[in-house]
Amino acid sequence: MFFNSIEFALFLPITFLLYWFVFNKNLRIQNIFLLLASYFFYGWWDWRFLSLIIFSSLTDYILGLKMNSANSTKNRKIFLMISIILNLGLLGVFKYFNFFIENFYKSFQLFGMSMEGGHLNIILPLGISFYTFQTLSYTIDVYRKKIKATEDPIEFLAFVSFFPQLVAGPIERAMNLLPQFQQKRIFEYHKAVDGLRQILLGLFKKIVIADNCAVLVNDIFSTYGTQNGSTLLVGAILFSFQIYGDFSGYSDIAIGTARLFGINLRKNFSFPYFSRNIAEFWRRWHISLTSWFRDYLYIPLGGSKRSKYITVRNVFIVFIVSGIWHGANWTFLVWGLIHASLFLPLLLFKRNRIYHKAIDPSKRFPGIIEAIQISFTFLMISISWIFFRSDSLSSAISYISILFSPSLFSFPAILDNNIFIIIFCFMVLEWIQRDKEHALEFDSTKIPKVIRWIFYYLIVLFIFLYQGDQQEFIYFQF
Amino acid sequence: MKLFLIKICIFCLLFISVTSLLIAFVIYREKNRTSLIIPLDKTILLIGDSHPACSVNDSILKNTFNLSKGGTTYFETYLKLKRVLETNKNINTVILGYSYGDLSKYRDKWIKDPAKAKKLFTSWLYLFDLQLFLSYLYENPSGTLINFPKSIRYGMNSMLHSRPKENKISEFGGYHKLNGSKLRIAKEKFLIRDKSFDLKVSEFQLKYLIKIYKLVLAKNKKLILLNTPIHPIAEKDHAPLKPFYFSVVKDKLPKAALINHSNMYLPEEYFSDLDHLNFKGAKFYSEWLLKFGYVNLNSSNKP
Repeated sequence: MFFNSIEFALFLPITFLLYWFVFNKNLRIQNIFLLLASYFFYGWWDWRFLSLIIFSSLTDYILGLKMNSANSTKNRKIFLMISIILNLGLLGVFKYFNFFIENFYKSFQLFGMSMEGGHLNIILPLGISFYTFQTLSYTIDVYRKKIKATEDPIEFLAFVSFFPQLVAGPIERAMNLLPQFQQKRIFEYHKAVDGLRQILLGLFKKIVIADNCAVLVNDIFSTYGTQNGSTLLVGAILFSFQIYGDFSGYSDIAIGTARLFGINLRKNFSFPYFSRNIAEFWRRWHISLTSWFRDYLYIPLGGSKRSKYITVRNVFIVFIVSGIWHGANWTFLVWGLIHASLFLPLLLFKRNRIYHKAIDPSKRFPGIIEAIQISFTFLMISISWIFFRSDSLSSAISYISILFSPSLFSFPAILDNNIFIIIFCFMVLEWIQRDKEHALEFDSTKIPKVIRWIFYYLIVLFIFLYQGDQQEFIYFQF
Repeated sequence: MKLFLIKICIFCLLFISVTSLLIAFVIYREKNRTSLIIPLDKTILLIGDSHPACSVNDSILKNTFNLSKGGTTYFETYLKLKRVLETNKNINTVILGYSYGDLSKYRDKWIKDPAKAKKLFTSWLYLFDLQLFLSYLYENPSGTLINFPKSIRYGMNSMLHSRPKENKISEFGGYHKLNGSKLRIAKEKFLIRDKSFDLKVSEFQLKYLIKIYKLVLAKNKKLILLNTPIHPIAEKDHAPLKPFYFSVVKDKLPKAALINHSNMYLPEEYFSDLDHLNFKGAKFYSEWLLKFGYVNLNSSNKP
């Protein structure tokens, strides 16, 4: 079920009303209802894969309990290793098996040998990369004794499968989400209203920005060989907005929906295209994944506390794994490598932590230096997205080589101007709201209700009028 | 909670009210901006799907105006016809394409086709009235809900760009010239296709066929149902559909004349495929119609 589908438009209000009016007697009933609603939501896509998520959740639930009761560190470690092997094993089989086997066979061709063999005819279960990481973080945190394993299976299953964030995140930590399944939720007006605003924002980002960019992006990327350099640059920039609108839009809808059910999810995006360098970008883009890799991979590997060699190695490992997490293709790996190369100099020269907060919110415009930094960072990110979007490394390289040809200085062949105006207006809104949780968080004491409602009306109208052809969320494939 | 739900309801009501006004305004403006004028010397209107579109070259038949278009359902034909008859008093005869498969359940696919819905709403919204809109919504809810807003966006764009009044009659259809022949491939496909014939009737098609009939009679025009020539293989193949096909004319459309040329003998080179004439066939058929008029085949005029 897509967030931008008619099915979800029916599912959400029905679930909301049942949740608060019928299944609201006690915590257990609330959790059972959320669990069933989540499985219904997931099963709508393909009910067969429910068994996978149930298996994965129950395994980690049992292993968590085992770790809790284990009397030695060695035993705890064994249970943790079982959890890691099982979770990553599932991910490996469903997501990476064919990729590795194909490249294994191809490597023989380098030596003039031909080899053919098994190829799994499987589809990638929706959200497997997300819920696998979520359950992994649970078992690792139980192992590290940061949290106590839960004894209630319903609570745990509901935590893993909570429908707003099940298929494309934010990747939640047990420390944040699990305690919310341990106390009865009470309806809070302001929370629900803010949730609705965030849903509205998410739908706008997805339906108006991402889906309309997608039409142009698909056209440019599929015919890049016949386009001039400036059009390809516009294509790369539009894809930057497409993927931002698509993914952050999904996160906004997920966070907003969760708030309607009285649950707070972590912020996943924080105005990333106003970043002044790549390090800041990664603190603002897909925050839940970045922090996951930081806490469960980068720091355990030694982080930046050891020698320079270890630091360089760790940075490359994290970015390569991050790239591969997105998909089994060399393009993602190169995308990760590019970001590692852009990030590393900042880390080595200790410039990676200089920008923690958003640019002073009282400033109407960025300073000249800031504007140059933001533009340069955005350009680097846009060029790296070419690898992310391309089907193969060779097409990405061809795309970039045409982009940087003399035709870069010709006029781009893009006729649809409306989307550029919409993106510009949206970025202005983001700029004004850059110190807020999200772009539609308004201070009700400062802005009169009539103005707010007119603004909401216009957003809904834009969603209504400017809906592009419905596109699947990009991150569903991960 | 109560306050939350009340506010949502108020917002929704306000949204629906304001947007409805906007939509009504856009439709009104679009209706006034668009003219659908057929030349005054044309007195016969030919309308329907790809069969008449490919068979009748109206540059040969001077008094006939071909407004047919491939993939058109009777619902769309009704939409077009309603407006065209209102604005073109010179039309005294309507010839409606009526082939054997037109009432087949298979035609429902055309109605539910998302691309069709998009075209229908982005280009022809101003032809709808509320009843037609609801009728289409019932048949194709997702297509309507997805594409209806696009029509408003199109209308608003035209408003913002203050496009001048234009004659859009050519967008509705016309003679479709088919070059070459795919007959051999069509025959091969015919041999390997699933033999089971779907005899189920499309109630939606039938409903709008009857509506067209009533509309034409209400406007005091003559209605002729035309079954254009098809390949003998297709003619034979459609045999199971014939009893119902003829019974509809007899029982539901008694005042309409049926001209059945489906069994007209034509050389193989005149066919584009089993169901459609190519430009050679269309030229021959149109010249034949010019010579003999819209009449049924008999021994004296059989080619």
